[in-house]
Amino acid sequence: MTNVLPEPVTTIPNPFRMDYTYVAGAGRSMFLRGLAERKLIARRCAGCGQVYLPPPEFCSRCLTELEAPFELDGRGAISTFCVVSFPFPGQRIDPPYVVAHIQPHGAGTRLMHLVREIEPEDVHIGLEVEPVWVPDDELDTSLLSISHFRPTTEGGADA
Amino acid sequence: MRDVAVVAWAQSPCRAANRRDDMAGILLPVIRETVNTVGIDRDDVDFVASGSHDFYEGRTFSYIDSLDAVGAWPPISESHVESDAAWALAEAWSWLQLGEGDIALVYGIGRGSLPADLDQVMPAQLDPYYLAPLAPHRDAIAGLQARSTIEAGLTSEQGMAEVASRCLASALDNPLAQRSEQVDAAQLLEAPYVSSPLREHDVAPVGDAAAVVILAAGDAARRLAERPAWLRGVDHRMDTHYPGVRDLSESPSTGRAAHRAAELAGFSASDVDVAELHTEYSHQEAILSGALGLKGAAVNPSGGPLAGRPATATGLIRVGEAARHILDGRADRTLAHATSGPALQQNLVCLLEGDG
Amino acid sequence: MTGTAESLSAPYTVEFPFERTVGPTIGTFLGGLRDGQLYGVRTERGVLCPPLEFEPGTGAETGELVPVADTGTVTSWTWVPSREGDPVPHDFAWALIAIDGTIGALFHAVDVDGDSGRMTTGMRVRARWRTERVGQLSDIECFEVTS
Repeated sequence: MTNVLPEPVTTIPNPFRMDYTYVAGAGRSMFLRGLAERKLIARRCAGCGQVYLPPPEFCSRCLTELEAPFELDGRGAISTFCVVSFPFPGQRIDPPYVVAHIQPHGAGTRLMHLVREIEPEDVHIGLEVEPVWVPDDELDTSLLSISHFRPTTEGGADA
Repeated sequence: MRDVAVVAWAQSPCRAANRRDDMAGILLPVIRETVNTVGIDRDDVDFVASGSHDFYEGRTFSYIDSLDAVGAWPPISESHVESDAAWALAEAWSWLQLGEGDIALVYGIGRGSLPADLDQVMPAQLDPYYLAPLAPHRDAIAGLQARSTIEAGLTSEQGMAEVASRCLASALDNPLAQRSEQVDAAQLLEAPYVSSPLREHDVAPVGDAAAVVILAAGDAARRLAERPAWLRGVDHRMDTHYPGVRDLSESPSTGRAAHRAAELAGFSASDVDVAELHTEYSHQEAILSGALGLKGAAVNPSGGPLAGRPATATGLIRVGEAARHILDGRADRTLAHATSGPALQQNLVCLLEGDG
Repeated sequence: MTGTAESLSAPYTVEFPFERTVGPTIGTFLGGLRDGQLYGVRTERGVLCPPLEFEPGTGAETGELVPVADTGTVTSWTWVPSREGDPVPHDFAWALIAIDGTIGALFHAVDVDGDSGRMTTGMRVRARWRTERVGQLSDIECFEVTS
């Protein structure tokens, strides 16, 4: 008797859906709460002098607790950047647009954010930029409280 | 073989849910405690190995967060296992055996509290064809194992409750335990089943903690610790995955790992004074004690995982606890066991010894 | 975000909508489920059900797939509360079921109408097939007591 086997199945669905709680951590939360008040909060390490923005609780070099928080105005210089030209799922901005690492003056670390109000071909390393905050009713404990950075204007960040 | 020892060990308190700290925030004080214990600077560490799991953290490459606590710049020699951190310890031990350096720091982070429902997460560790599509209750495969263990005559619901009662009482002396109490077995047996024959006390309570072990080789170990806890034998093995083709009341991979560890160590599990076993479920103590061949050892004097199970840090804590007895001069030979996967699928055995 | 005084926290969801290739052995087994027939695979020790591509004890490649019965014996079980998405709408058992004439055991649900007192190791069970079958393990709704 011949053993006639069934037509094999080739693939099966293997979906996962998992719900989680994100815990920002005490250090990061101080920074995020500052953003909701248009503040960029930094902290310095007494041991090595490094200024963290955003600040954790401890210096990752010295393992010691950072000093009291203080505010930076967010003006800084572009340390590197790229021009995003391709579309992808979930994209919220029409390409092309500029994503940059910004070295805020007074900070030893860099922030990543959008650079707008300038043609992508005019952006360069070293360009001075300032944060543009969203309207008060859109402020949140999120980096999205800064809409983008733009070339520094004469009147400063709040002009 | 090089002589490699645990020279320092610390953990954070096991908490059911830590809602204050991010990964680095949990870890950093524990790293600081261990490096201060042996009086070294982080620059003295030649190798860093860690263990955690993205499915507990809920993000890809989540462990990168934790590198802030060890300082990844200037570039360090570093490795991570997506598993219990006891496997990171095995890697660091091998790395030291290769003579690549003299001091290694091993850390584990486990945050079992971040998933809202572990029933959504635990099927991800099961085979995707025959088990994961059924999405069994998180404790179901352990429940099958518990019944098989009882029917094999190795334990009973009473025996399991006695194990839990003993562990919770031992944990009264462990300020870092998540759960501890003086409660007798009869009282525990009044509770309903969660996945029969398992009751709540039979299931190690999942939570959050970090653990750090510093390993050192040869003279570095003798310099850093008064009485190093020498890792005389380390081995890990695994059994096949599908529960239907295993005898769940046995753990042959534990037996094999113990046999190989004993060959390396020159003494066996039957010679140890203390055994810290990674019992995610109370019935597993009977399986493991038999597979290891323990004779008269104090089992889980810390309270063990039944008093706190911070996910992927749990196995590394067993190594740390087993080492602590030697570092403190309270035992000469100890054993640590760690497990990963469903129903003791993967098992790691360490045999530790102090100088006479 | 909400949270404690010291840290913000927020809920979020991760989804992986994966499709997974199953290979020839498991694929044929799942094809059998779609057709309402259980299959095992020949090994040196006997017919293994559910089939694997290799014999778990020796690693030897397994042989031909052959039809097997849809009845078997419970070798272990655990009683669980029914949750949303479970195969049985009231409390039931997850069990290992040694399919008649095979080695190994199949992990699946056993429905005894919510009465855990009817569960025993060694009890005889039969597959309850769904009428709409798609080639997945859930084509067997669960196992039920052989009448």
